[in-house]
Amino acid sequence: MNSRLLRRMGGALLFSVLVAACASKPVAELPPLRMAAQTAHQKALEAIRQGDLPTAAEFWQQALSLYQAQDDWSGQGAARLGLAQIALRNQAPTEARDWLAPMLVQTQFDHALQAQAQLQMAQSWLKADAGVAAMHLMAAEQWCKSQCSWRWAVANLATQIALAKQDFMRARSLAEATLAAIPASETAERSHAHRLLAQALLPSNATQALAQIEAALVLDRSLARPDWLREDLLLRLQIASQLEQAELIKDTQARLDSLCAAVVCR
Amino acid sequence: MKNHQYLKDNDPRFHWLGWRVGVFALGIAILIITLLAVLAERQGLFNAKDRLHFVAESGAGLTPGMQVRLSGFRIGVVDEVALNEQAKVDVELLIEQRYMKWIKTDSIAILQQDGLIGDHFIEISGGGAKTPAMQEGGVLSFAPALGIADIALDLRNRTMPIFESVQQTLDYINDPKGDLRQTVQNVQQLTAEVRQTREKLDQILVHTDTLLDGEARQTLRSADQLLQRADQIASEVAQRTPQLLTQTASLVATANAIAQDASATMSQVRRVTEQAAPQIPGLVRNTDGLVRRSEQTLRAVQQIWPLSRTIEQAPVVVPAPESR
Repeated sequence: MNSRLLRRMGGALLFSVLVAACASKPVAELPPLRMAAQTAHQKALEAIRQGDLPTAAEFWQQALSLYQAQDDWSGQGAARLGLAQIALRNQAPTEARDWLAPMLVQTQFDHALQAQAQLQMAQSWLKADAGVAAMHLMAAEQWCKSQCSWRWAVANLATQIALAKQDFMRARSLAEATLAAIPASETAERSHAHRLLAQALLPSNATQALAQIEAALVLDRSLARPDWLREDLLLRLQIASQLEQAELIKDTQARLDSLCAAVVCR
Repeated sequence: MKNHQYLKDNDPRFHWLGWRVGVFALGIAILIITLLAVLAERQGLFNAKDRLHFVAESGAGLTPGMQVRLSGFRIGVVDEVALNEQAKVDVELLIEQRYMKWIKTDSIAILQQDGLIGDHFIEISGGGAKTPAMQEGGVLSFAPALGIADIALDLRNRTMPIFESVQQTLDYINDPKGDLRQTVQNVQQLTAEVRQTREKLDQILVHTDTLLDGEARQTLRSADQLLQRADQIASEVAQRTPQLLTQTASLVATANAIAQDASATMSQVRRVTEQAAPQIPGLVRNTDGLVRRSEQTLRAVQQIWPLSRTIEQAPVVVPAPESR
């Protein structure tokens, strides 16, 4: 009796699964070129996420060509931004500017993409000319307003510009304002804000700077970014030297050596 | 009560019923036979065939019924594959007579495969234009096709002995206790001693006129000893030099043999590369297509319920900027 009931229930379940499966949305087939572009785009994003910059650059190049072939300016913009980011991470600001420059003048790119291009252009000028960087950052802010997902990057870049101009007071107030407003979910920008505050505090109060860099290190360890950890540790070493704490210097040096044994330290 | 209308035997629709069924069945039978005949004709069953033969080392990939091709065209089939008394494989081919004129006595049967995972077939190739055509019952030479793994293994087998030989020779040359190094050291030592002896003799000759008689005698004795020593050294050098020359000659011969081996291997590598080169673009294209189709399939599978609910497709987004 029970087995018959179970068999019926099984049958009903199988039937309902089949009906549900048949009722699923039909697959809309994409044109091959579109599919190839999206695949290259996804792979580039995945490679960036994994920190594999050469592979990411290759896929962005592919995606750019494929988007150009389809007259897709949003895709082209995304690919150019990706290529510029890789150039910046490879310490090649001139190359980054080459990728971004067309985006600032060609009206086919939408405003959001152009605003992000202005932000990345500001990053590319940061070390060479803080004034030009500030000009591009202003343009990015103008287009972006508050709805941009990367407004915290804008805030941190403003702090970086203040630091580049040796305006430590302004840098401190900007970093503190950012830390007061930034949500906990924005871990990367939050950790950067801590680091920038540590930099701003270093000339006046090294002890407070140490607390800020420790906070940045905790966040960067959770993000598992060796390049950021290295920057943090170098700053910690500088702070420890200023505080003349031999133990802290030894500990930081040991951590740096261990990190550089695993990854290439430029 | 309702009267039912039954069909009666004398109904006009039953007239010649047996004949009609017979004609219908005959029509179907003729259609089937015609179809079979057409298929058989297409398969070359009605064409006259000649029997050829070859012997293979292994029966791997050889099966009765597999196609025999000439320049990509099907010209026959493998009729029989059997193990012979020498534990080799006898293969009988049935070749359509009309194609026999292109199979020469020096033609080769090669085991090939369609693509990477396709069926095996026998390709008949080669044969000089002036070479006579092969007759019924002729024996072909057989060459099993080399896969990529076989080519790699073959290259490895050919190059490894060369590397080992080079290594052994270098070890022999570099061994501090080896004959060669020892001999060179001995010769260096002997040469140094000869030079010292000569310097001493020169000094004696320079000072001869200033020596007293007694001293002169002693000096002459000493010089005599030195000359004897020099004589010994010279004879030792004379003894060792042929040995050294023999070893050097054998070393040169070994180096020469290695160079010849390397040259032969390089020509083999070049030949294999030349043979494989035309296939490489096709293989790459096939692989590219395979990867694209796999991606399409995977994408399609991901969109099928319930996978579409469990696997979330990552959106195509703009790369997020970071402030550092």
